[in-house]
Amino acid sequence: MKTKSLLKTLILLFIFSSCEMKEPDFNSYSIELKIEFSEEVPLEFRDSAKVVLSNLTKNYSLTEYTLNTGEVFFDKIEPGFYSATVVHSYSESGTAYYLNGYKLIDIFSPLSDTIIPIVSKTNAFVIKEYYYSGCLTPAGKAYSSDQFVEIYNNSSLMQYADGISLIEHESYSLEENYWTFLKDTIVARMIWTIPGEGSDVPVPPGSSIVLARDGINHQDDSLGNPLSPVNLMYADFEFWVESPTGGDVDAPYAANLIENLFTFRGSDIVFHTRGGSAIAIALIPGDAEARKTFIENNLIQEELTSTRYYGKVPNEYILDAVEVTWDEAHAIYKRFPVELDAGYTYVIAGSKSGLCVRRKVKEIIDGRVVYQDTNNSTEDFIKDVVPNPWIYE
Amino acid sequence: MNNKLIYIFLLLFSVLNSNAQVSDSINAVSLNSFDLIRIINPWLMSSNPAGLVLNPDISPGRMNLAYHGENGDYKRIQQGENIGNYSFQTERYKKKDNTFYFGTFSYDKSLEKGVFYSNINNPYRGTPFLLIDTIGNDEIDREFFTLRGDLATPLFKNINWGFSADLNVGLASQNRDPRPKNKVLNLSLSQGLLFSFSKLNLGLNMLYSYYNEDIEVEIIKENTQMAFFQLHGLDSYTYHVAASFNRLYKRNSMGGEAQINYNSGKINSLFGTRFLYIDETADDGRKAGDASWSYIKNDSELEGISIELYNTTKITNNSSIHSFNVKARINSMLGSEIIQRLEVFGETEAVDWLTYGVEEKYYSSLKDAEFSYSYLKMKEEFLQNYKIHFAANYYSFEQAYYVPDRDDAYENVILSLDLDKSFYLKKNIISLATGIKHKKNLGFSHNYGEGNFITEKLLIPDLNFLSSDFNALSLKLSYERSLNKLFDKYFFNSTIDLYSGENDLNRTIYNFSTGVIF
Repeated sequence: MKTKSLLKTLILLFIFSSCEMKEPDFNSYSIELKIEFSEEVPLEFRDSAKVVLSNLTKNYSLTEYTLNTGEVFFDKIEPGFYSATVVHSYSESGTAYYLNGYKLIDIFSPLSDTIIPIVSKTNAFVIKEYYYSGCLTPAGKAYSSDQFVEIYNNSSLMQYADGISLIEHESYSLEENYWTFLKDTIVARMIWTIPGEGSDVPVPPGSSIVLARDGINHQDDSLGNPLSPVNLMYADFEFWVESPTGGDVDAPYAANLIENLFTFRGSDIVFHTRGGSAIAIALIPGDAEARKTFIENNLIQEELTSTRYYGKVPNEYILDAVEVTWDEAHAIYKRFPVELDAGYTYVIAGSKSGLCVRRKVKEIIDGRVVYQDTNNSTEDFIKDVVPNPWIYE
Repeated sequence: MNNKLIYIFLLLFSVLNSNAQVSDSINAVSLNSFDLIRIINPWLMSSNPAGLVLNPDISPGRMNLAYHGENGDYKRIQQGENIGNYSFQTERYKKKDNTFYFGTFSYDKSLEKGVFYSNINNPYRGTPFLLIDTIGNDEIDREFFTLRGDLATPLFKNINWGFSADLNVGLASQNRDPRPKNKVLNLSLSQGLLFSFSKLNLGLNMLYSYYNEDIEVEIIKENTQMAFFQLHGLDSYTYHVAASFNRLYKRNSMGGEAQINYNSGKINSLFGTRFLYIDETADDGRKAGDASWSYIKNDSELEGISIELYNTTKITNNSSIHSFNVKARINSMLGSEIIQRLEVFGETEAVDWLTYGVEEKYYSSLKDAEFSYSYLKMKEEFLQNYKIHFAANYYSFEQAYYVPDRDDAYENVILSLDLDKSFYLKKNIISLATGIKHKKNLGFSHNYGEGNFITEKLLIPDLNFLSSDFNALSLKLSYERSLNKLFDKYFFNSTIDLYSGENDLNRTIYNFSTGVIF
């Protein structure tokens, strides 16, 4: 302590200590935004809308909530180019609605502006849990056969999952999405569909179905891994890749998904364990044959550089999407548009961690869990949780 | 222009080495003499090249091969885990007629492994405006040349003039996409006057230096774009996704130094004060072939001042020398970020970056105070018997970014004690030295807000390193043997420094050099 005081005194003896640079000269501004709700939004649901102000050249955003007047204020905003996003939801007569608004704003002086959000109904099916990271075996080897996607009926009505397709985006988020020139369309490297005629796979309210990479008890099976966090023996469906070599074992209980598109076809499917696989669920109209025809008629390939074909899926067919990425640094290579997923999420612990991302519980209505669905996975998902299929918490 | 400069250097260097082959038979010198000469003539501690005229009557020179290695995880976050540097070095003091010369030349070839988050040759040279990518575990291959020439000569009675030029050029390149190639040029010029009045000497010199780092980053893999992050201080950054990226740093530093020296023979004391103004710009660009923009984009500007006061005093008492050094320095830097957007201009619809604002948003302050004392027992006038050296160094650093407000700060003290003993055995000299060093953190603080990946990957690990304590042990062994022909001595010198930080982090630094003294 004595030494510290002595040294501080020495520093005070710097006779030139007053010769430092002048104080920085910078600006900051106050911003007032007015959210103009449409007539169809009841008055009582107009307050506390979330407004996110994002600096477009820097990687940060600020969040405020509207007053009951629909106004929101931001203080001490640095000059720059911004976007303002409005996210709000409410329930009325058993139907959930959510509002999304978006506007680009240049801030170089104090500013007042208006945003008009669009109202839409939420979808019944959401991706509740996505386990892609895989885990380690006792011998320290990578194990990813226990990957799965869980789809949940978030509504209060019986829903039918047959015909729903699981889509993996073409890009692994290593570089800028090549397909940005395609408007209102995402491009898939893999499309697998739940079989059925439209009412064969009922999913009651507050229930889910699990799509497993391999529908076995991973903790106990001779082909499994005792360190796996999951038993998927009773998975509803599995991604079974038919091949002459029989490289992918067909599990006895899980029904097989229909393989519609598998661009990089191998002996088994695998989701990118480091977070490259952004996924979506979609309902392509028509029966199984019509869906097959649609996919075959909507193939696309990269110009000049590739002979591989990928599938185009219009945004309007997407029920839910999760922009999973590697980490914060790779989040800039965003693939899904804002209207499908305004954010991104990932397993911080990374590959082979045995952890997953899970949707947050919004509320519980008469014992039925309702998961949060604001179309923004940054907001909606919890990172680094132990996989828990069929458990709603 | 650069070629002419190099020719001037080579001419000066050839003068210095014209008699290099003739052994210096006037006075016996050793490896220690190169340190001693700076104690004997404290003007060599100043930046005034005219001070060379007060050099003692020896002309030592040396030429050697050297290896410098570093290994370990006790390091700054953007520093490589493993560094290996091979070099050829030569230096010479020389007097011809009434003119004094000093020259050095070195060639360095190094490989730095395990580098993360850096596209800059030296990310720790004092600017917050860094260019980084997130693909890590890079290797940096460097090849640098350094050429320095000083001369000092009487101008009029009691007035001497001196000139110094120091040129450092080189190339650093990385081996993994994205691959920066950094062309670095660092030129320092100084000229000064020395006024001599019996026991009193007054000096004044001007300083100018120019630093240029031209970075060209390429991605070899076809059809691949990656993110380049332009840091603006603490966790603030902008980024661009591209298949190539260029950045140009240009730094001009100018200032001066004044000195006053009292020399009674027994007491020789030099007091000096130095002022430097620094201005650096960073501009970005991309290749037009595969880029949506390739026009020069102004990223940032950094201004700063550096003020230094120092005193170096030597007291000679028969065969004993007491050497005191006190130094205090303060650096203040102010960083401005330039806000621009690509826009279409005029009837020709030309596209270029339009500046919307220049915001002074970064500030840093470094305070550095050092006291050291050396006791030297001499064997002969220029041969050291043993030396005891003690040093205490206090430094503090604080930096802030405004809106959103972020800051961090730390202050440390480093204490060191070294002992160096030489044994003279007929034609041989063996020197053994050992030292201990202890760094104690006196405090640190930070406000990083919610944080982002820069906070997690760079700021927190770096502050943890800077605010951690360490203990270090150094050992040195050198051997010299007199030669009869061509050169005075053959030598080798090896040192090892063992740093032991907190959390079992360690770093070992070793040096080996071998060559001749002439």
